[in-house]
This record gives sequence, structure tokens and C-alpha cells, in this order.
Amino acid sequence: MKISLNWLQQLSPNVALPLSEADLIERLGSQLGQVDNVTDLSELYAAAVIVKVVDCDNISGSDHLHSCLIDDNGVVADVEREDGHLIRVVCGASNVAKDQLVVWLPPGMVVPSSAGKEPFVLEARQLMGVTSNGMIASAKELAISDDHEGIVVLPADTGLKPGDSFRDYLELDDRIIDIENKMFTHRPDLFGQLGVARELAGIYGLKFSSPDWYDANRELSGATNVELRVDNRLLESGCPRFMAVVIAGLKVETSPLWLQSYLSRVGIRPINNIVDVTNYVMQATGQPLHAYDLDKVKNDQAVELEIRRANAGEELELLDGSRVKLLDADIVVANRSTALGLGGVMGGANSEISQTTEAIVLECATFDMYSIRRSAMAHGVFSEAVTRFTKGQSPLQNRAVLAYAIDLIKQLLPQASIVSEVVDSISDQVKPPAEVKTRLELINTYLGSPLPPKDMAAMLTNVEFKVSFDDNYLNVTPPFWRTDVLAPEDVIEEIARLKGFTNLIQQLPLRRIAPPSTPHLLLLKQAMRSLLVAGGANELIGYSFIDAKLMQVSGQDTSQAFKLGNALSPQLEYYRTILVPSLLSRLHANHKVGYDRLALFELGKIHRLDCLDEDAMPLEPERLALVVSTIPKIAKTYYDGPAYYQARSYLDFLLGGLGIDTSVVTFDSLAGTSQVNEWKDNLKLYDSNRSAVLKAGDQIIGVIGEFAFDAKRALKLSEFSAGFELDLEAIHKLRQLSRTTYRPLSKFPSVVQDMTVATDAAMSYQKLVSKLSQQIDKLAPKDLDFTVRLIDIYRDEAASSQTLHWTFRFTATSLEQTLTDQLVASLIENIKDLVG
Amino acid sequence: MNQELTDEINNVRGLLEARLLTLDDKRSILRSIELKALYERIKTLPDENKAAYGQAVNELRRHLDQLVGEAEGFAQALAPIDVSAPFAVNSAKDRRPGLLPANYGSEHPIMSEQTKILSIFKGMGFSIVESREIDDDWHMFGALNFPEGHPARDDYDTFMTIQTDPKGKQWIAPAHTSTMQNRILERYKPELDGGQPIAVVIPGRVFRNEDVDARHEHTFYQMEGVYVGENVSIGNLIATLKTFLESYYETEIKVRTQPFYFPFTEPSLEFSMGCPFCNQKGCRVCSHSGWIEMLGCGMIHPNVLQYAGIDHDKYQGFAWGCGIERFIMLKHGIEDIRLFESGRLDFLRQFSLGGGSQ
Repeated sequence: MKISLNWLQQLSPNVALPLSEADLIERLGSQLGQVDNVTDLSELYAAAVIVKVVDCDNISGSDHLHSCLIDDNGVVADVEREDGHLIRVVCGASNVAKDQLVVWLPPGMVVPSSAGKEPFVLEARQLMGVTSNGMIASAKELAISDDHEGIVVLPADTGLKPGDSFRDYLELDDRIIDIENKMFTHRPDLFGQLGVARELAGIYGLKFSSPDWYDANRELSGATNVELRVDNRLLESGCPRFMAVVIAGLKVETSPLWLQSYLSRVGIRPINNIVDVTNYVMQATGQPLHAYDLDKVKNDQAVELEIRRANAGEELELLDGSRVKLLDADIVVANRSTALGLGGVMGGANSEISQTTEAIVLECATFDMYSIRRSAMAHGVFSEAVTRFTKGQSPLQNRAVLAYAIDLIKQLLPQASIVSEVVDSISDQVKPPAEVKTRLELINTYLGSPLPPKDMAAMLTNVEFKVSFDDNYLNVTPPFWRTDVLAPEDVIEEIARLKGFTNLIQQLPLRRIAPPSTPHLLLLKQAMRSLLVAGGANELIGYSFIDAKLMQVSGQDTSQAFKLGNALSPQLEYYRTILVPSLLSRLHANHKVGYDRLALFELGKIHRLDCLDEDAMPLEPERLALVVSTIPKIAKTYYDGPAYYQARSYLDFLLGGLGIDTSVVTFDSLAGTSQVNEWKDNLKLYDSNRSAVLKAGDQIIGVIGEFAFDAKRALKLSEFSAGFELDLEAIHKLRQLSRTTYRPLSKFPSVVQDMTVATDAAMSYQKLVSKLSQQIDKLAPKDLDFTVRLIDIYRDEAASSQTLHWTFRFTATSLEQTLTDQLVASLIENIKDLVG
Repeated sequence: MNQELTDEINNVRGLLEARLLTLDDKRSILRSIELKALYERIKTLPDENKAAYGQAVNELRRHLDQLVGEAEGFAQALAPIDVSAPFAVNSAKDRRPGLLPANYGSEHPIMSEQTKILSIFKGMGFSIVESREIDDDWHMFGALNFPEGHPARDDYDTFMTIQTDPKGKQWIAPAHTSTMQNRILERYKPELDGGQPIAVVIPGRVFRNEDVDARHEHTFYQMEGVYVGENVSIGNLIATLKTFLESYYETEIKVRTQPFYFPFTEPSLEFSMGCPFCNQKGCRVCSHSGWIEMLGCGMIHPNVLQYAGIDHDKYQGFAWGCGIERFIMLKHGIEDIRLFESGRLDFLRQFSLGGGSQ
């Protein structure tokens, strides 16, 4: 939203706004909204001078250049003059002629239209052998409009004379402030210069009064030359107010320069005098208007407008040239046969103002903001009108705004006149804002310190609220244009903002003594993160969304995944049902740039359609995923055995580090496990011979393994890669159950002995260890503490032997006595006999 | 085709078959220089030999492709292992694949920063609740005072699922951690009634359906803060955030606010801090303005309190939401927000225990 400080002052006839205050921009920023940009036009136009063309000749040899002598009344210094008086300028415009008053940009000046882009600095230069000092400007070069057909020729009857400042003539000693308008979402009035002027006065504690024309009850007298009938079928829902009037005696032409200049400085392109007036009034008040060409909308002699929802199959070509198929919910303004515009969004091309327009229907209406938003979104049409209507413009200002527009049209075209009745279709639901009663105590609570009620009242009356107060309450009646002040908190916002938020006392709130709580899984995640980082793994964060292809190659079922209906790309379409594939998809790229050995992990959530809580809200199980991968060449150099055992190392390290007794975890075949529930998407990801489901009792805590061939091939995985995924809630439970594994230290030395047992190849580690434990429990004296650790597994491959030799290291400790080697040896021998 | 040419092809066949056995990446045999050379050779031959020679080379390629397929087929059936064992049969003790060196390891910078920020708020008495990654329309919008169809919803470009909740509304990937406000207020209401203020921070991942560039990600991290109690002022809000920033940056911080609009706070503010990197003298970080925009905040809208059953005449509260990435990008001068979720080790390992020294 661009504001012009000069325009603000014009809209404040009774009070001088503090426009030159040094802290103006800062206070606008802190009390109105973020200032994005400030442009000082004063500097930009300082050097432009009004001059008279004294002589104008064609340059021989050129088909369009003129050599002109201009009179600046000697006001410009440091310029080459002929006979010490006149200045020569070459001009290529076809409309340049002797005796015109034109705008001259002298050498050294930056062409205004080039400012802010690539500034073009004028100089004296040779054109076809003639020295041209600066230039005579077109409206485009002056950044007033797009018109580059010819130079600007100033009207003769304005009393202007050579040497006058062009800047002063158009009031260009102005500053344009661009304010981020997002904070105005609930402030329809701030989408007009008038609202900003009022607010500015309020910020500086000045008493603002709106211009006389901004009067909700303004008289507007109609006529009966043209019959105007309006059938507002949406009075109760969709169009609470529709005002219209026919104006005749018009002549469509380019607007006067002042009007064009004010529009262009706030970013609106001038078009013609009628359209420009509607835009000017909208910029001033925030209320959009629309003008229809009378000849194009009338049926026979009368104009019969109807406001209704669109009919099935109805189409409309809009002013921007787009053609839309209307939807039932769209509001249209139509005549007896045809839709003329998409109400509050954009007018139709079929009733557009043109050079031949002599009379118009001028509309000033209020449409339902929700409906406008829906239509704008559905058709992708966004306009200045949409921006303003969707903030909820007050229907109470329509009469004032319409009258103001008519005033301006008459000012530009004195022969213009109202030729129809002034139609005003207004719903009973349109009511002036109601009084809001606010407890003084509540206001002071928000402010943090007491403010005398008379000060509150003064702040609000400055911006035209009606205020009274007693010992307990502040009673505030908002002015008719404020649709946003409905509750006590809205009044408080008003007072606090006008006072300045940062001027309030800053004090920390009370806190409780009870310690704040932290979710148990957050603590678990922090613990896991520290451990894995110490284990040389890198935490990464994957998107919550993945693509169907990754799901498919990693064996997941898209039919169980939440799917986005408006994904940014097919790569981001499904919520993840497991985490490991996200990590797998990052391996190849990292190997390729030289990371030969790596371990990646992620802590994240999964979502499944069949995973809902009792209120049918999706559950969000939290998971840890980890993958290890080493490029084959390096794996051969460093490692014996498959990658599975590296993933296993991380698992043991992690669980051990979390204080979990790993002996309670069992490894079962993934495929053979029933009740996999939310783990079933893992079945196809892992190789069936090299994977396991991890359980603690009946509880599944995760899966581990090397990856299935399809995933490996599709994701270009190394042969040496493996990973696991754990459920954090299950790990948490396990951690809670785990007892300390601390063993008291003994005064007596421990005895360490190795034992090797041979089994057939079908024996598994967990079966063997379970047997061992049983025997130790059975045979070992109770005062003896045994720890057993596997240190080697051997098979004679050369002999193709089917026998496994397991070597365990026994450490025996007694708290009571010194153990002898023989005692321990015979014990181990007995255990071995029973196990083997 | 003469014998000489046939031998040429057969020689290459023998060579490549032998090499195939030694390769880790079997498929790379199809890209071997020798095979390419045979194809190049076709062009140099007299016309009468071209066709036959070409067919023979294609035949060789098919043959190799088949061998590769067989080799990969073999790889498909990995030999069974004892998945319960801690290491492999016949593995030497010092060659068992174990943990990588500790100096490789790194926490994700977002998580480190989140932990740091959380610990400050925890010290200030704020409990922690984590946010959701999928939510319903009511929590994302309705309970936050965005009426159905309200234009303010347009400021939040949300992702929505094709699946719907029991009310027939699409599920939403939350665009802000404020999606948790209603739950927090309801959960802690009994304590509020017992005279204890509600003070909670809510970290979480949020999503915006917008085009991605160096400054915009569709997925990023936010932290919401909620405080509700008796006699809560706007100055309490400003002081709380200022105190946090001063603790985080370990220096005195100037703050400034601008009016803003959020449907769920009234008044709503945008909160900036004086640049702590240059002491407000102007530097690259603050774009030479001396100020850095940090977050949005405001006093909780009475409707939001009311939807959670809290008496808004008795209690007031404030809330804020800030992006986590912003803190990290400012701190390290990270140029592109997309790096955070890129999964690139050249990025991640810069945050390693070894400080990137590997």
C-alpha cells in the first residue's frame, strides 16, 4: 500500500499533519505497519522546469527530429545558451510546436522514469549535428503515465510561465511511503489514503476530522431523464448495499496531469478520466467503484440491473481480457440479458468505458467478502477491488464515496450531470457500529499500568470515535467506517497501538515454581542423538513427504499413506509410512562426492491411514531410522563380514548407551512374524535372509537388516549397506523397565577363561546364549558372578565344514573368596558339556 | 565378414567375460572402453562389412547383459546369516564393522539450535509440548479464530490431503505451530484454574505450499510460545521475548514492534530486534538497517481462549511463533535454507563433533 504524504494532507483539511517530523517514518513503522520503502519525489523532480518553445524547426536529413529553442526565463544555471538567452533542445515528438508550454529536463537531471532502475542522467549531446541540452519530456518519461505518444503540453490557461517549477505545479514535493499491507487485513479504512491520514494524526495525538464530503448521510439528488431500475436479489446475503446512478454529458479523454500524477505515484496506471476518477476515489477512501458504459448496458431506453448468482453455463469476458466460466456461487451484476461484471472482483469487457462513451452507470456497492474471495480464488482473478473488498469495507460509506466521485467528474467535466434517480438498495442488516463497553481495569491490565480514562478518550476521539466513560467502563462508539471494532480487546488494541506498544512498561510475567515438563520422547530423542553422534553418525532431516516411486522401490504400500491433494511436485506427494527410505535416497549422492563410509540417522514421525487414535485423529508414531553404508572397495579394505553387523554395532551401542539390557531383545525372522501392524511396510524393504524384527517379549521395537535387491538396485545402494528403524515409544518403555547393570566391585581378583563350543551350522547365537545362561544359572554357585562374552565364531571354510566353533570369554568374580583357576575351569567344563 | 574381424570381437568377448568376475559393479562392464571401441570401429569399416559386424557387436552386448543379469540374480539371494549374532563367522576381531570415528558425527543444526532455545525457555519456566505434522481444520484454523472461508486463511498456503477427517474436511499439514494452541489451552486449563499460569513452548515442523528458493522452504521449523494467566500485559509479552533474546545472544538487545494482523491475536505485533552482530551499526546480516525481524506475536484473542473454555475476562495471555532456521542462518551466515533438508554431508559434517576436521 503506497501512500502519498501530500495526498494525506489534502484529506486533512482541518489539521496540519506532522509530515516533516524527523521520526515520521519510524513512528509509522512502529504504530501503523512495516515501512517497506520511502521514495522522495521532491528530489526526483527538483530540476524539471516549465519552458516555452520559442522556435521549432525540422532538422534536415531526419524524418522526425526537431531542433527547438526554449525559454526557461534564465532559471537554470550551467547550461549552454544561444545569445546568452535561449537553450537548444532536440525533440523527436511529433506534437512539439512553437509557443507551447512544455516540461524540460535539463542536463544533469535523472529521467524520472529511469529512477530506481538504471538511472539515466541527461547531458548535452549531439544529434544530427545539433547540440541538444537535456530533453523535452513525455508523460512516460515523467513517470506520470504510459503515454509516450508525444511530449506533455501544458494547458495555456493555468497561468504558468516559463521558468516555473514543474515539481511545484504538480505538488511533487512529496514522499511516497510503501507500507506492508498485511497488517491492515482487519482495517479496511487503511486501504484508503483518508484512513492513513486519520491514523497518522492519531499517532501524533492530533485531533483529526474527516473532510466534509465524507458524510454517510450526504444528499444526492437524482433526475428522471433515464430510467434506472435495480433488482438486488442478494440483498440479504451477498450484496448488502448497491448504489448506482446514471451520469451523462461525458467526454472520455486523458485525465488532467494532477490526477494522473497522483494515481501514478501510488502505483495506479492512468487510463482515462472516468476510470481514473473511480480509481482515485478508491485510493482515497478504500471503497471500489465501477463505471459501465450506459449504451452498452441499457435495454431499450431503461437500465435494468440485477444482482444475482451466476446462472449455469454463464460466461463472462473480464476487463483484463480473460474469459471465465462462471460458477453458481459467483455474484454477477447483469442487465436483462447478460452478465456485465463479476461483482466486486472485476467488470466485464462488454460494458467497458471507451473513447465514445458519453454516459455511464456509476456503481458503488458492497459485496460479501467471503463470496468475493471464493470467486477471486476460483477464477484466479485478483484486483485492487478484491484486495479492498476482502477486508470488509463498510457499506455505510457508499453514499459519501459515490457523491465524492460525482463531484470529481463534474470538476473535470463541468457539463456532466446526473440523469437518473440515485438508486440505493440497502439491507436492514446494515447498521451503524454498536457501542463497545470495556472495563477500565481490563484496559489497564493489558497496558500494564493505569492510564487516565480521559487520556484514553482523547486518543480515540482524535480518530473520530465517540467516547464516554464512568468509574468502571469506557464506552466507545466506532465511526461508521470502522467495521473491525467489535469487542473490548479491539478497543484495547486501538489504545495500545496509538500509545505505542514499546512505550508500555516491560516487565516479565509471573512464573510458577513447579518445574516445567518435557515430553519423555523429546528427552529420549536428545539422548539418542548424543549417542549416535558420538558413534560417528550424521543426523539428517528428510521431508515428511516422499514420492510414489521411492515408496514403491522400497516396498511400501501407497494405499496406506496420507496423500497430498495439492503437492508442490510428485516428489512430495505422500506422507512417509517408514523413515529408512528417506535416508537410503541420500546415500548414493553422498558416496559420489567422496564420503566413502557413512552412517546417517533421522528422528521423525510416520503416518498411516490405519494408524488413528480413538477420536480418528492420525497417530504420529515417532521413529529412529539409521543406515550405514560403505562403498564396496573400502568395505573390502576395512571390514570382514556383511554390513548387517555394522548396523548391529550401532544398535548395540545405542541400546547399551540408553541403559537398556540388550539381552532382552530377540531377533526373529521378519517374514515369519505375525502381528506386524504398522511395521508391515518394512517387509519388502529388507532382504529376507539378512533381516530381523526386534522384539522385547511380545512387543515389536523395530526392524533391522540389509536391503532387498529391488531397493538396492533402484537407489544405487552399495552392497555394503544396512540399517534399522526403531519405535521410540517402545524403546522408552524398555528403558523404563531396564534395571541397572552395575556390578559391585570385589576385593578378590576375577578369573578369566575362554571356552570354545562346537555346534552345527544351524545354531544361532541367541539360542546358544540362552542355553548357556540356563546352565550357568543351574550350575554356578550363587555367590559367583559370571559374565560371558562371545569373542569369536569360526568355521573351517577350506574344509567346507558345517561345524561352528564359538569361543566365549568367561569372567568369574566372587565377593567372598579368591577363586582358583581349577574351580572355574571345572565349572566351565561342566557348562560346556551340557551346552555342546 | 572375415576371420580377422570375427577374432577381433571374440578377443574382446574373452577379455570382458574374465573381467566381469572381478567387478563389484557388474553392470559397469556394459560401459567398458573395449565395448565402446567395437561400436566406434563399425564406422571405419567398408560398407559391405558394416551390417554383419554391427550385428555381432550387438550380439556380444546382449550376451554380456545376460551375464550381468545372472550375476545380479545371484546377488539377489544373499546368503543367510545369523541375525542374532553380534558379528560374522570368521571375522577378525579388528576387522569387524563397528562405529565410525566420533569426529564424523554431527547433530543436525536445526536440532542443536532447537535444543538450545528450548533449554532457555525451560529455564524461564516454560513446559515443552511438540507439535503435530498432520492436523484437522479446526485446530489449524477454526480454533484460532479463522472463520470458514475467511480471507485471512489465504495468508497460509496449506497442503491438504485427499483423505478427510470424520467431519469430511481434508487433513492439513500445519502451516504454523499455532495449530497446537487450542490443545495446550485445554490441557493446562485445570492448572490455570488452580492458580498456576500456563507457560508452554511448542517446537515443531511446519509446511507451506509455496515456491522454494534460497529463502523459502516448503518445510521448516517453528517454535510457538503460549502464556496465559491473570493480569497479563502487552509489556509482559515484550519483556519475555526480549529476555529470551538477551539470554540467547548473551548480550543486551534492543527491541521494536510493529502492528500486525493475525486472527488469533489482538493486538498482533511483529517483533524485531536491534542487530546483535553489529550493535545496530549496520551490517550484512541486518541489511544495514540495524534491525532484524524475528517473529510474530500478540495477545491471545478472546475467542481463542473461549474456544478452550477459558474465561477471557479473568485471564489474558500472549503467544508468539518464530522460525528456527532464521536463528541458525543468522548465526552461521548460511546462504540457502534448502541446505537444511538437502541431506548433504558436505553441509552436515560442518556441524560435526570434529568441527568439520576430518
